Amino acid sequence: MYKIVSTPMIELTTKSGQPVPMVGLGTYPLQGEAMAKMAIEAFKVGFRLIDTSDDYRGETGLGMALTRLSDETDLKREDVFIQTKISQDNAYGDEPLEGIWFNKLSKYQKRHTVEEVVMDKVNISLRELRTDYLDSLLIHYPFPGYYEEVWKVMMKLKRQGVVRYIGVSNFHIRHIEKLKEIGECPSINEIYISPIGTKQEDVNYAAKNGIQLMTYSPLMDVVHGKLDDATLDPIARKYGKTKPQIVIRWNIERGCIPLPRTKNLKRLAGNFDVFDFQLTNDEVTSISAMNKNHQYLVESKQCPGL
Amino acid sequence: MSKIKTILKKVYGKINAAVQRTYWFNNVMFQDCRKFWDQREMDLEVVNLGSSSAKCGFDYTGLDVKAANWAMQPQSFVGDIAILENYCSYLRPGATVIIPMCPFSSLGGGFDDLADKYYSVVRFISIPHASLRKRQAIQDIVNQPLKYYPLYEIFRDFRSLFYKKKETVAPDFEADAKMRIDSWKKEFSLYDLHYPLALINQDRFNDSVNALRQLLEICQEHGYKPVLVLPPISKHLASKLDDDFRKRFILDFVDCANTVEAPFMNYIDDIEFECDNYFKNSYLMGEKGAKCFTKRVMADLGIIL
Repeated sequence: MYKIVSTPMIELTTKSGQPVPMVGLGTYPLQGEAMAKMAIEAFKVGFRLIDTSDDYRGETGLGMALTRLSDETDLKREDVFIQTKISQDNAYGDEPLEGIWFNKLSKYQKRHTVEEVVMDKVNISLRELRTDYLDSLLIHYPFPGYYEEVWKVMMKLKRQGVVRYIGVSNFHIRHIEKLKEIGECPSINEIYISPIGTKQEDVNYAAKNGIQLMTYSPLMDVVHGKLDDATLDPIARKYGKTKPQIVIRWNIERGCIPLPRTKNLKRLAGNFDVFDFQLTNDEVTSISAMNKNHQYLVESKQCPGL
Repeated sequence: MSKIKTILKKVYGKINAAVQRTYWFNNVMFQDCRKFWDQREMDLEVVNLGSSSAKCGFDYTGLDVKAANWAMQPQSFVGDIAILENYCSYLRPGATVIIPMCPFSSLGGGFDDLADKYYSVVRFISIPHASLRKRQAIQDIVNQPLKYYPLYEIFRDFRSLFYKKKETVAPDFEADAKMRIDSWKKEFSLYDLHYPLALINQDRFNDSVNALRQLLEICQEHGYKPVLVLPPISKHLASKLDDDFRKRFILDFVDCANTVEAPFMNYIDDIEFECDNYFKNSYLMGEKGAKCFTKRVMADLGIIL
């Protein structure tokens, strides 16, 4: 049931043609110079994929990092993979724009087409990130009544070369099936997966349909002590790794790209130091056996349209 | 100085925590909200939504089923939608969603001016006509209730320390039934239950149909099993709702809204709940009634034997 994959569900590449390593950097809620510093350090450590969103307030800082990229590292913009999202501004509790877009009750949405809103958001993202293309653009949530329209605009942006990969976030199978009917299957789905909420059905579906799963907050349950130490500790000891590293590797073995975030530079390096060992099939199975369909981050309370 | 400040802050926090346990906070300002704030159990196999009659009509304690009573007092179908959309991650795939109705759901079900307490329970954008100002105000009351606590409430809270509130039972069910019918007539501007619906009530009927349809479609989209349930009412109240009323306000309404052909379980005249002992007034079930009724529904649905 829990098959080791260890290879991505599809091979994502940077614009320069390099494969994207199977660990990316989650960035919420880093902002400004802190965001810029973390991104530069992440690139130095080996990260190439940086995940942000238009409502994380971190795009400006990431843009600062991209302008300094060639000075502070030996990388160019084409060597890194920047992923952002189209949101309705609800990452922060104080968002004054929450509910303004992609909401049938919004008087503002009634004045604009979905295309106008998406283009406005993408142009702002490009401006703040100081780039002329996005490696990946995701719909943050399956906005009820809107995500199909948003998807059509994203397909257009991909054809125009503004975006290299288009994908979704927090989507369930039923949402993706609708997008497939429109004409293109997403390349990426970023969701919440944990050893106590393995979402095997989504993993199987993604593998079957050529969708790269990325997992946000992959260390949430480790940090909050929700995982069974009796399972993780012996595995961690065996490989001389930490429990977070084992969980990151467990994601990779299942073909997913975890996006751990940290504010700590030491842990940043640790989160990437997972490519010198592999879990066995039995170890993946034993970690996955912790599954109880639990969600520490209760998705339906965070994400519209679920 | 900073030490004193820290101590004062701690004391202020403790007092706020105490106010959050008061009757005023839990039963006046945020009635029925705490169960949502405290909801932890995942993988639920049954939940019921609904309003007062469901809140008092369902009690899953003692049953071998992972279930929750998500009714709020009051709650229209629009409120049911907001609750289900925000809390569906707690349900297991294929879970049963009980959608309780009441005699006048066909006129009140589409009511979308949700109570302010919803701001503390669901995402801001799930609330029709949501206001950012109101959200901030409600959040402030939740976090710092001391600033808003009415002093006169202290007497009730002080008394509640010594007297446990017992379930109050209406002394005269017949009079209570008459009062309820009169109240509903006023609430929905009905001169007579048999007159044709005025324009406003035609609109309310259509709004309710749309809201219930949407709720059923959400269940279907998520793969849940929706079940429409009309909980029992006392024989005193049931006798005041004649066949013509039931056809126009209940059966025709269900026919219009139930596009997904969800089962409709009507317990309004069920002989098992004929006895007044099961009720606390002519309309709402008491503790004993709720336990028996819930067990009966679970058995009828084949969830328990």
